Amino acid sequence: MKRLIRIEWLKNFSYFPVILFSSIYFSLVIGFTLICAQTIPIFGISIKLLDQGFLDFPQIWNFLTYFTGLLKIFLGLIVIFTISNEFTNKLFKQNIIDGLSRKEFLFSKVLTITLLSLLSTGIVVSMGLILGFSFSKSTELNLIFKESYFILGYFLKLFSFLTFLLFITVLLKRVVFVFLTFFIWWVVEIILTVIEYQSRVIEKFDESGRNVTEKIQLLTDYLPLNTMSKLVEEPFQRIRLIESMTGGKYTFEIPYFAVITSIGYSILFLYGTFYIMKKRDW
Amino acid sequence: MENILEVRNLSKRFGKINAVNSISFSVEKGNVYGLLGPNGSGKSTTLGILLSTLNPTEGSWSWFGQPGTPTDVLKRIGAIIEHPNFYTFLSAEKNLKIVCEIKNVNYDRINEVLQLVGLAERKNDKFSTFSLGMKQRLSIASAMLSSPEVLILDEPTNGLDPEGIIQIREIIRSIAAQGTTILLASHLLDEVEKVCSHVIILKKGVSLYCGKVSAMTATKGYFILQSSNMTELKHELEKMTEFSEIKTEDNKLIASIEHDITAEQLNRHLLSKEIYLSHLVKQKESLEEQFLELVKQNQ
Repeated sequence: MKRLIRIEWLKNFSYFPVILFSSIYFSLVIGFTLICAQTIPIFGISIKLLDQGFLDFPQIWNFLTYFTGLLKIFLGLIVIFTISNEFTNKLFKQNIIDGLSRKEFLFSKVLTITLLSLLSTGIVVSMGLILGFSFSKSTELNLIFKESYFILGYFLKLFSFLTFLLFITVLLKRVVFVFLTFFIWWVVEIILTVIEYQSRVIEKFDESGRNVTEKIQLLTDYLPLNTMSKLVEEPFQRIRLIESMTGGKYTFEIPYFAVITSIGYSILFLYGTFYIMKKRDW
Repeated sequence: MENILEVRNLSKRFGKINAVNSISFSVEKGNVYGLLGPNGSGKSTTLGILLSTLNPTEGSWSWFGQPGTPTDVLKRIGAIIEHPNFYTFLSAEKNLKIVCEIKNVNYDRINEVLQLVGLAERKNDKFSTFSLGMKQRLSIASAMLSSPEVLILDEPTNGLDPEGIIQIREIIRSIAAQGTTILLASHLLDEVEKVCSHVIILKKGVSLYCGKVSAMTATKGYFILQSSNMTELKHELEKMTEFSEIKTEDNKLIASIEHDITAEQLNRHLLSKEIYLSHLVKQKESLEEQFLELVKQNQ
């Protein structure tokens, strides 16, 4: 394993896209968490995040992992560019000829993906602890760890997203095709979700105008990108402003279906990647 | 002699095209083999299969007695395929470090192989700044990192200028002199003739010949003869049993030898018949002629 990490380090460390996108990504993640204590405009209303309880334990985990999760495409770019370089410049072929097995090659890429995800998770955890201890109303231990699921959910979200990109990059090789396919895939998932929502969900409101629509499990929730986004739900429904508007109290539940399907997709994508490496002529 | 590589009935189809059609050959230890054939004859495909980058349609092969191409075997082989493939943004040294890690070789070897190909001074320069000749030499350096038992070269001089070609050939010769088995694919007959002791000839995916260059054809060579009296000379030659074929070319007679006869014996014989020669040359067919002959026979 050390050998594979050394190989990946040598390959990637001085590669320009890696330096570019990782510095953009990590400065955005850190910068973002640092401006959290400030007033930022959301939906045209200036909301001081601090007042909305965003920085309280335990919902700070939900909040931080959701917003830093939006930046994951920059990590994705690192994966797309490095893997694409291996295949368009026939470096994969050369690696094989030099005596790196296909399994080792795939494993080295999985290691990189895991390390990137871990690094990002580590930063988010440290920023959460720093912000939480500075601003949270309560710093009781059980509150700090109460929703630590979000840390795992965040890691899994990054990991499965990057395995998805690994798969389509190995499949299509060229960066342009990968971008295009990713974009089309994304749009198709949105369209399918809208269609299913329109045809299956009947929206209901009570006398006071509150939305009391029954929640049902949509089939489109099992699509890869939807599932990954369900790992860390958006945190707006739990801010004080919304709670006071809807009158409901938010309760947190671990989205087990998303955890299981995301792990399932990761395995599927990794197996698919291996299958392509084995069956294709290089 | 120990067989390093044995190939049995190897085939590869790309759709309807038979790139390699049931070829068989073996490679003995310590020899320099030329894999000879025109463009599109299946040389690169064959090497691709033997190096595990292409999946064969049919057939089997074994390296060092082990079936197929296990990863450990690849570490004992040095191979250069088509264009030099390296990480363009890394220095020569870093590129070789990656290969060292893949092949489990000590970094100390890097300076040795760079010395061998004359790139020691450029080791800290990025690969993208190298000329084609230097890139090709770096490929050889990379292939030599693990002190391989077999070196596979696919058109190593393709696209190089004369100076580059000479440099590469000299490196190949010095590697061969150390006893490394070499398998060299080329469409340049001249190159194979200069470097190889054995030859495997491919045409349209079929192997036409496999063996020593010197034993390639059964013919024992030919005489080129000229005399003031050509008709009598031809008449006399036709009477002799040593020749299989006599033809006229450029006002000279070409007599193909069937049973061994030296130039001296022939000259003496013709003298006794009072035929005086103005031109007498005994020649062996060049590889090119033998190659064309083989290709013609198998059309």
